[in-house]
Amino acid sequence: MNSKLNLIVGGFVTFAIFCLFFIALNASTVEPIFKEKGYTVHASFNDVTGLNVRSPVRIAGVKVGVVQNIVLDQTTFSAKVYILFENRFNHIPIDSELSVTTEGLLGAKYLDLTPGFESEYLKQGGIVQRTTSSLSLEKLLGKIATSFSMEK
Amino acid sequence: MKTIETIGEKTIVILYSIGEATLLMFSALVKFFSNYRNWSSLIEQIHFMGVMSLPLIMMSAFFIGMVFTVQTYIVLQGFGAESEVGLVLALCVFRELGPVITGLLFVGRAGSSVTAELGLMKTTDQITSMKLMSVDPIARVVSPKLVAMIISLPMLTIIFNWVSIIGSGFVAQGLLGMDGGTYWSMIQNGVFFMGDVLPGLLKASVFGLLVGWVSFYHGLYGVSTPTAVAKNATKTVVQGSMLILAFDYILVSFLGFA
Repeated sequence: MNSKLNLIVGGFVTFAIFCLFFIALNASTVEPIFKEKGYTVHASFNDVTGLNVRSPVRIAGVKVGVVQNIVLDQTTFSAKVYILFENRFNHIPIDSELSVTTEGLLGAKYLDLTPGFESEYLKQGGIVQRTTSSLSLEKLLGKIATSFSMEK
Repeated sequence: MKTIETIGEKTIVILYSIGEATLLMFSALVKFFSNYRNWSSLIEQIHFMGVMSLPLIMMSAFFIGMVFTVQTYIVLQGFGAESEVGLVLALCVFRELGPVITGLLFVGRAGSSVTAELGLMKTTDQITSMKLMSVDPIARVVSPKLVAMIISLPMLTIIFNWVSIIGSGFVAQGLLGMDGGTYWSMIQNGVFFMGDVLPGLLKASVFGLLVGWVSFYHGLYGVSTPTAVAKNATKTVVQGSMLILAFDYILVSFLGFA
C-alpha cells in the first residue's frame, strides 16, 4: 500500500469534513435531532396567515423561542399556536401579549411578544390570553375599496 | 414496414443495453463487499477521482459563486433587497447548482477517463487475461471505481458548496461593500442543514451512481477499436450529462428531494 497516497486521500476526506462542518455551523441552521429543552405554552389567534412552524418568537427583536406547532381549534375555529420558549427565558409575565408581525414590509412573519406586568410567570402548559392577529394587506385594501364605493 | 422493423430493433437494442448496464452496476456493487483487497484500490481510485478533480471543482465553484453574486446583486438591488444576495446564492448552490454542476464536471473528468481506461483494457485483452487467471474483472476493476464515484462525488459537492459561498462572500464583502455580519447571518437563518444541505449531498451520491452506470457500460461493452474507444468516451459524457439533469428533475419533483 502506498502511504503517500493514503495521506493525500486522508487530507481530501478531512477537507470535505471541514467543509461540511463549516456549512453546518456557519452557513445553515442545524435542526436539533433531540428534543429541545424548554417549556411550551399555547395561544389562540384569529388569523396566523404566513406564520410557520419554526418561525421565531421575539421580545424586543431578540429570539426567545420558536413556533412548535399550529393546529385548528375545531370548536372555536381559531388557530391554536404552540410556542416553545427556551428555558433561560423563564421570567415572561403571564399577561404578555403576542402579535403576528412582519419583518420589514415584505419579510417573513414572526411572533412579537410584548411583556406584561404581572409577577406570575408563564410555565409549561400555560396560556397566553392576549393576542393580535396578522394584519392582512389584502383585507385592508378590500375594506378601503368597499368604503369608497359606499360613499359614492 | 421497414421503418417499423427498424424502430422495434432499435428499441430492443436500447432496452437490452440498459438491462446489461444495470446488471453490471448491481453486480459491481455486490462484489465490492466480497473482496477485502478492494479497500486499497478504493483509496487509489478516490485519489484519482476525488483529489485530482479538486482543482477543477474548486476553481469552477469559486468563479460560479463570484459571478452568481454579482448577477443576483444587480437584480436584487432593484427591489432594495441586496442583503438577501448571500441567502439566494446559498440556497441555489446547496440545493441545485452544487450537486448538478459537480456531477457534470465529474462526468467530463472521471467518467470519460474510466470509459477510455476500460475500453483500452478491453482492446489490449487485459480483461480476457484476467478472466483466464480466474480474477473477476468486475470485482477487481469495476467495483472500486463505482464505490469511489459514489463516495467522492458528495465530498466534491460539499467542497464545491463551501468554496462557492467563500467566493461569493469575497465578492459581496470585498467588492460590493456589503456588511459581513448581514451576509452570513442571512445565510445562517435562511438555510436549514437537514432540509437544504443534506438532500443535495444525497442527490450527489445518486449522480455518482449514474456516472458509474454509464461509464462502465460504455467501457466494458462498447466496441473496442481505437477510434471506437474515443467515441465511447464522448458517449459517456453526453449520456451521463443528460442522465444527471433528467434524474435531478425526477429526484426533486417525484421523490421530494430538496
